[in-house]
Amino acid sequence: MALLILCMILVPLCIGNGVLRVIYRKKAAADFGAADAWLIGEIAVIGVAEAAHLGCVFAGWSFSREATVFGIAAGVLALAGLAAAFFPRAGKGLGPFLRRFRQGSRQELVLLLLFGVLVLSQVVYILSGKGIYCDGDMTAETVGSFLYTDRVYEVNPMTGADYVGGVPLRLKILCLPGLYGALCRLFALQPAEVVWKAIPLATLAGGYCAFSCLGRCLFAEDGKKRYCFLVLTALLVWAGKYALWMDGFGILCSGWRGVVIRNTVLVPYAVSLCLRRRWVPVVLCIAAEACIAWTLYGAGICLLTAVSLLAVRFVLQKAETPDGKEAAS
Amino acid sequence: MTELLANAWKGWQQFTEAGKLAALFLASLLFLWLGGKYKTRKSFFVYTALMTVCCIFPVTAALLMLYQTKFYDYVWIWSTVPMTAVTAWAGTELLDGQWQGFRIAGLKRGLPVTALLLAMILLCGGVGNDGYDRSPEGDLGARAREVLQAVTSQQQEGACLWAPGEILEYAREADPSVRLLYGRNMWDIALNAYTYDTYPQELRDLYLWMENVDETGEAVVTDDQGEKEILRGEDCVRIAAKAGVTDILLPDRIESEKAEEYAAILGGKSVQVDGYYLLSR
Repeated sequence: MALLILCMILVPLCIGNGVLRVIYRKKAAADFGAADAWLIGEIAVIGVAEAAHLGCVFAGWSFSREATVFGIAAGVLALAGLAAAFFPRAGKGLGPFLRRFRQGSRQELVLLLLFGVLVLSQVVYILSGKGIYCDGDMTAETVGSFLYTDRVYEVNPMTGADYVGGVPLRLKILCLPGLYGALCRLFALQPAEVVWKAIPLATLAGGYCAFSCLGRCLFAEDGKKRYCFLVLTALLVWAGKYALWMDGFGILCSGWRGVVIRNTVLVPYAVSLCLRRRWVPVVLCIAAEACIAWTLYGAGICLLTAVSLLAVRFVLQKAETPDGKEAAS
Repeated sequence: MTELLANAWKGWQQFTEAGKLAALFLASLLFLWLGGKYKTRKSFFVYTALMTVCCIFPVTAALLMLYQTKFYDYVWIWSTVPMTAVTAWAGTELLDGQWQGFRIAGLKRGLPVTALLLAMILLCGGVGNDGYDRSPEGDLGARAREVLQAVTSQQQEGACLWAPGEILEYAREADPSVRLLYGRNMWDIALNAYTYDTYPQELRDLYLWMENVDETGEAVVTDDQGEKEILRGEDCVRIAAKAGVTDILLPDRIESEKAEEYAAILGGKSVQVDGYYLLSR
């Protein structure tokens, strides 16, 4: 489990760094930090998992083959991303954060400490397994079936009997059960450990990375406000643990579900990218959503959010400012 | 469309009944607007306000429900509204103002306002509100696993199990090699959205019998028309045997003679396993 968590931290970070290098080449993107690299890396991992899963669904690969292809592809991408780190960086990386941490005011440190305590309490809660909510969800059983039969969607995960009518194709192509199964196979872990503990931790981290990016958009370089924003976000996550559709419930009780990853990671991150006018990664968010949640033929909440934000920005520019820029842009 | 509109209206009521963070979010929008704080990120604010109105107003809510596909309920259209982020944004602006830029000088006004905000967040939310325990290590999960282990140790390859819901709930997740007569989707209807397969009425009756059986081996159930029906254990075990069940786990409230009788119908023997009878072919 510890090795998986370590890989979940490092592999997306390396891949994300590489992807940012590819997207922005020599144009140094000053507003991209380590959180961006990690999130872009997560999205790339989803992309790799989707490609491997489609091979399994359409080409009839065994599940072991899907896991192997995913493992090799993710490893190669991570190494490529690591190599890219030796060249001039696309983003700011961890440097500014560590500098700010060393030079930060006492208030910033207090807020950061408070945020750390809140996040730690949430990590403990997730690892305790007290809040696992499985109603209407069969991810753990699906992953178990993949691993047991070495095929995808051959047997009904609820009974273990052969499917009669089968599964709708638009559900079959979603990659999350395949990704979780591949992680189980690669790290020799049980589905319950990966699905209910490791993945929700990644969602928690991804959520706070996305909110951190959003905070940076809202408060620019004001560290105190940004950390206060994160503290309040963490508090709202705890407080929102009362209903299925709240971000807090999603992160703390069902962080492995596609809609939760979409709502707490992809959508806030897409909003932050739209506010920064970074459109290529927005497209990646839209594609990632189509790989993990049921959408209207690929058109999901990220697309709606991006288009709406773009439209609002356009209308506001036309209606108000002569130079077409928002105050904080 | 009428049904969709009705769902949108009912959904909004359900959305606001469960907790009050939605109210806190609306108050946050108002604060950002009246305090002029929205100007730093006008497009984000206008987008949020617009989507909020769309989610509340039934016609636009129905359109959003169509867009997100009928696979998801009304509450999921709120995914378009960055509630957490905007509430935290407003809270940050409020605290920044009261603390005068988070300085010690602002302690006099900042501290009470911080306490008030904290109280509001906690009162509007539901910290500590669990009401379920599905973890493998939880009380129910641990007991079900113990029983399952005892059962599977006696099963042969290709065995098919029929057991009470509290055991079946955990069976496939605990051991994917266990085949079941019916699974969790028998009572968790939402799971049926993931497949075209459905259960015949015969299997539904077996489920009702297993969950309602009394010590005499009979279960009184109410059908869709509201009429009472008595399901007899002998008939149910015969149907189960015909459907390929090799192992049956019965609650031990059933008389032991009845359990022996059912074991004979199944063509096997009955043993006691941790509060249940295990009938094996």
